[in-house]
Amino acid sequence: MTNARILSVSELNQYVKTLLESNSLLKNLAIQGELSNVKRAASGHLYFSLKDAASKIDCVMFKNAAIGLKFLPKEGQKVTLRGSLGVYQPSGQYQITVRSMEPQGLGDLFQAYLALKDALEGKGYFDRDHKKKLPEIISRVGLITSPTGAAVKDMISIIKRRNPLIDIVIYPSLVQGDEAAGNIIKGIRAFNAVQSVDVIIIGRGGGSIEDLWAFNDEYLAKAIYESDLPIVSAVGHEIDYTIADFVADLRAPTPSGAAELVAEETMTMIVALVNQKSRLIQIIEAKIGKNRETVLRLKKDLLRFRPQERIEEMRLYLDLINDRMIRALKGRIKNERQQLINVKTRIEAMSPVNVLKKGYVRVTDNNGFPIASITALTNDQLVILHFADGEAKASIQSTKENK
Amino acid sequence: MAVKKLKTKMSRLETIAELLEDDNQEIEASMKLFEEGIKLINECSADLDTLEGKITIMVDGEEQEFEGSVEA
Repeated sequence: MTNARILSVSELNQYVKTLLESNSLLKNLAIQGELSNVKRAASGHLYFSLKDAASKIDCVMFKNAAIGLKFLPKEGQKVTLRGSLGVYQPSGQYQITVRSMEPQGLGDLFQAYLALKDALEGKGYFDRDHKKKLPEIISRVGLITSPTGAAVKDMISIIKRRNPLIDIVIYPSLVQGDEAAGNIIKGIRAFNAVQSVDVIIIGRGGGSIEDLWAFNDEYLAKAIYESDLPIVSAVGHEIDYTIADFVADLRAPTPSGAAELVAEETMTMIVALVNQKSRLIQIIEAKIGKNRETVLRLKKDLLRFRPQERIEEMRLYLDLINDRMIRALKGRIKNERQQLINVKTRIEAMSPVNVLKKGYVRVTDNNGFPIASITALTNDQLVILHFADGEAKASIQSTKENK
Repeated sequence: MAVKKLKTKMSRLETIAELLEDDNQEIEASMKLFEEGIKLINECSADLDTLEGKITIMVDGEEQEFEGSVEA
């Protein structure tokens, strides 16, 4: 073989690529293994390795395929994936281009979930028409959740921060395991029996699909559907939808998100009060102006009739009333005006733009949804930093929650 | 029920403003309403500063004080 043609590196890689990618077995692979090194790129593509005890292979799942994932791929998770083997020519590496991926061992559960979802959808449990609106005035909020978890703390602190006037009633409940669904159902019924709250939040922090399984319970779905009080589900996973999420009147991606939905900020009430004050002052000022004109006209009318003493008497009387009224009001109005200006200045000082000018930034996800908690962030997640004078895209290197 | 209490006052305020806008009203009556309105606004502002909602926990169908630690 001494006459073998001398190849360039590119030619070799090209040859291997053509050889591998035309193989019909390698075009339609189904492989099992364990996930490792899972990375989600800013572009939405998912990169990871699939490994077993002795070997590993690099995999890429492009954005359009990754969108269809029904679970959040995690380190060490056992999966079955389908795809094709491809060669990345510049580095001569081969990898699997993944078309679809399923967690292993969840197959039966998944089937049960899908069957229940279809059945309940058929019964009209998810119908938009049946969904109740949140009441305009929310004075008391019922939380069905674990009284010791992070979720309850998050919800209480967000509600209190937005509106310290709201009453919170906690119904302590298990939120995972066999008894959780029964607990939550009891909570829904307890609140409905006494009608002591305006809205119910069912909440728990994130977890694996197994952890969230209690929220795929048919009886729980029925209880949510039959509740007279509106229910917000906040079963903390942005990607997975549980049956409870579908039946609930409103779904929040996280417990914190639910707290934001139900608590009207006191700031809006302050603004409404300030506006009312301006309005009252305007109306009364216009009235005084008009009244003054009437007084002047009456004076003129009286002068025309000329019964001298009467006129003098009346004029004195009118002047007196007029003066008294104007004096009383002017002081009052001036005072209220000043107060109004004070409050407006206070509101402006609190506006987010001014806060941003002081060096704080507001963080949102790629879609502009505010991120209020470190728990909403994952490594390599793309976020947008909003400064007073512009925006920056950034990706998260690492996160650490305050304990 | 602090929010409800406040909202009731605020809806009375709305009624006052509407009554005041009526041109046929006597100036004395208007003055009274204006006074009432300003008083209500000041009360509401004070409520916003001072009222605080309760945190309770349901135990056997009864609401009890919640003793879990929550920092706002």
